[in-house]
This record gives sequence, C-alpha cells and structure tokens, in this order.
Amino acid sequence: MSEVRTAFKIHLLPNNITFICHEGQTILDAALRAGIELPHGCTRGGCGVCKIRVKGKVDFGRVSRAMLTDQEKESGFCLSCRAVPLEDLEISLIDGASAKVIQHDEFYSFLFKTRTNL
Amino acid sequence: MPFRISRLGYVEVRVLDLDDALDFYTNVLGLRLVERLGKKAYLKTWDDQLAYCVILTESDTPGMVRAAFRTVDPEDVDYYEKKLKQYEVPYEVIPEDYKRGKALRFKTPSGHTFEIYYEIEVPGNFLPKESPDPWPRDLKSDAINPPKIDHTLITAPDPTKMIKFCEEVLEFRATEYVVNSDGQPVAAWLYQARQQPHDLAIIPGREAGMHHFAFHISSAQDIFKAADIMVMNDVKIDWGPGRHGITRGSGIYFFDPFGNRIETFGGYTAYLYDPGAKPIIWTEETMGKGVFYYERRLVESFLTVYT
Ligand code: FES
Ligand SMILES: [Fe+2]
Repeated sequence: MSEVRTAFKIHLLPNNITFICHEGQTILDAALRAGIELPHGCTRGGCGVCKIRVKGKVDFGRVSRAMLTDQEKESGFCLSCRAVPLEDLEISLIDGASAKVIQHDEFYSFLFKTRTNL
Repeated sequence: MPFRISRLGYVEVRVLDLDDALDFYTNVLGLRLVERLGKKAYLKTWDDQLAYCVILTESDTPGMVRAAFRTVDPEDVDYYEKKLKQYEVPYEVIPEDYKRGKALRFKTPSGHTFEIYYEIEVPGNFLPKESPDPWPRDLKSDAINPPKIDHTLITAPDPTKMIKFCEEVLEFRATEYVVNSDGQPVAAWLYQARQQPHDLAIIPGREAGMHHFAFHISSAQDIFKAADIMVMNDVKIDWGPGRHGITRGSGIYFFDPFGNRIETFGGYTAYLYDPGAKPIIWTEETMGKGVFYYERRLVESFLTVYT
C-alpha cells in the first residue's frame, strides 16, 4: 500500500527539465535528488548562495533577511535550500545559465541491472 | 613584549530561532546552557573556567554580533585603552554586561565589533575543584562535547589593513600568512598568549562577515565521533573530517541550523608557536593545500559561503 502524496512539478529553465518535488520538500532537495546541481552552500538559509529566480507560490522558509530581502521575495527570488513549493513552479539560476545535470541513471543502472544468477 | 590577551573569550552569534538554536547547541554540540534571558542565551563548554563562551541572540539574520578577547591581567585593559587612544580608534567603555565587568568595545577596520575585557565571573568548569576526574560523568553520550572554544575566522574587505590593525593595535602575532604577489599578507592566522596556531584568523570577504567559530576537539577518535553525531542529526557538513595545511589542525566544518559555520578544530596535529619564530608563508599557488591539505585545492564555497 502506498500513501498518496501531493507533489508539485518544477520546471527548470533554460535546461527545460521538469522534476518532481514532494509536499514539504525544499526545491534544492528535490533538484539534487533529480541530479540537478543547483548552487548551494550552507543549506540552512544563511549564506544566500542558493538564491534562484522563481515563478509561482512558495513558502520561503526560515531564511536570513540579509540574504533574501522582503523586496527580493516580492520580485521573484527565493533561497532554494529553504523554499518549499505551494504550487507548480518555474525556476532559473540568477545569471540565467543552465544548471549542471548529473546522469545518475547511468551508474545506478550499472549497479542494479547486474544479473543475479542463483 | 609580554602577551596581554589570553584568548578568545566569547563570541555572540545571531540565530533565527532561539528554541531551535538551543536544541542544537546543547543536544548536538553539547554546550551547557548557563542562562536564557529573553532573546539571548549564554552557554559554555564543559571545561571552560569562565562564565560563558557563546552568546546566542535571536535575530532575523545569522552572523556574528561581536567577538571578545580576555586579557591576561586586569591592567591590560587599561593598556589597550591607551593603545586605542593612541591609534585614534573610537571605542566605548561598557561598564558591565551579563556576569562580566568592564569592557572596551570598538569597531575594527573589517567592520566587526570586538571587545577586550578581563573581569568576568569565574565559576570554574564542570569538574570538582578538589581531586577532579578528567571529564564530567554526565556528558551527553551522543553530543560532540568540545572542552573549549578555540578561535574564529572572520572576513575583511581589506584584509591587509585588518591584519596590520590586529598586529599593531591589538598585538596579535602571526603564525601563518597567505601573501599576494606584492608580498602583502591577504590572509593571516594570529595568536596570543596560548601560543596556539590561532585565536583569530582573517581572510578576504564581506565586511563584518563570520566565516566560522571553532571549538577544540583533540583526538582523531573524537573528530570522527563528532562527524558521526553530525550525520545522525542531519547536520550539514561543509568539509571534513580533514586537515588544514595552515595550522596543521584537523577538523570538520559544519553549519548550525541557520547557516552559521562552526568548526571542530583538532590540536593533536597542531603546533605551539615560539615567539620570535618567523611566520609560515603560503602563496596563491600553494594556498589550496594550505586550506584543505588532502584535497589540495580551494573549493569555491570556502570563499563564498558564510554569514
Ligand atoms: S545554501 Fe546557504 S542559504 Fe541556501
Ligand atoms: Fe578554523
């Protein structure tokens, strides 16, 4: 029996990748699990290194007011390590560059597709 | 010249939620709560003789409020008052603070608030005064429990100026420098009477930035146990367990729940410095190994991530 969990879709531009973020999960956590290397440092809302652009409603979480001002919150920025989606989102890096994507699938399939002969 | 500062006495650090901070600082880090007073809490390590070594203050932005250095003798406070006057550094005399007497408070060229004091209550550590055992029996077995505060690393927009200020006015001495191509120090590790690798270190960066503050963890076994405890408690580890080339100390960088970086710094591989010995020099080419010895390169987060 699997529990039905709410999940939101996050669309990353300009990579043009969509990944899933579970209810209550931060954008950064969901991205890293999907192999998307969003920039990050302290992962605790303090250093501001994970700041990204966001379109859509988020819970900004507990963040440093020096690193994310009220004005930045209103003009579409968030700290991805603390921000939790409240609806489907569109995100991009501050400088508009593509985020690095790691192909986890390849080495995972190497591990798990190995045949077991009993 | 005698040493007139004995050590880093306390740091005041801003946290975004004092309840969560206390849970982390007491249950995971293993500091003892001395007293909570409104939006501030005073804490100490189990082997600290003085009233406290960490003040946590609730605020909307993490980072450092002040760093305070305790002098060797009471008269040294007057000595520094004269020096501040001589160098025309504006200062305030703070007559008293929680469990503490007079302090000189001033802003450094790096924008940090420093204090120099001598008088503070000396309740002793958490061991009996007579025939003590080597450690308290009631240490929390799944906390890090550092015995003492060690040093702080702060950032300065003009590090060379800040280093000169600390050397000339505050009479810190350098164990190690990173020098630029003009031979000017752009980062420094500075010591006082304890002759440890550092009580204070300075690197380039934002005004009034706190890169980290550190607690002493000595043995390899304790360092690895500290790392285990961090993982068990989902504490974000930034680096380590590893070794610095500079200071030769081994340690771990990790973050409190608000992004303030803390370090466990291991003295077991680190030296005691002889006054008069020439400072050790690192250059732009070698400083990668200087900061992260095994990795042999600087990661970007060392220079960009701090509060
Ligand atoms: S990673 Fe430091 S604020 Fe998000
Ligand atoms: Fe350090």
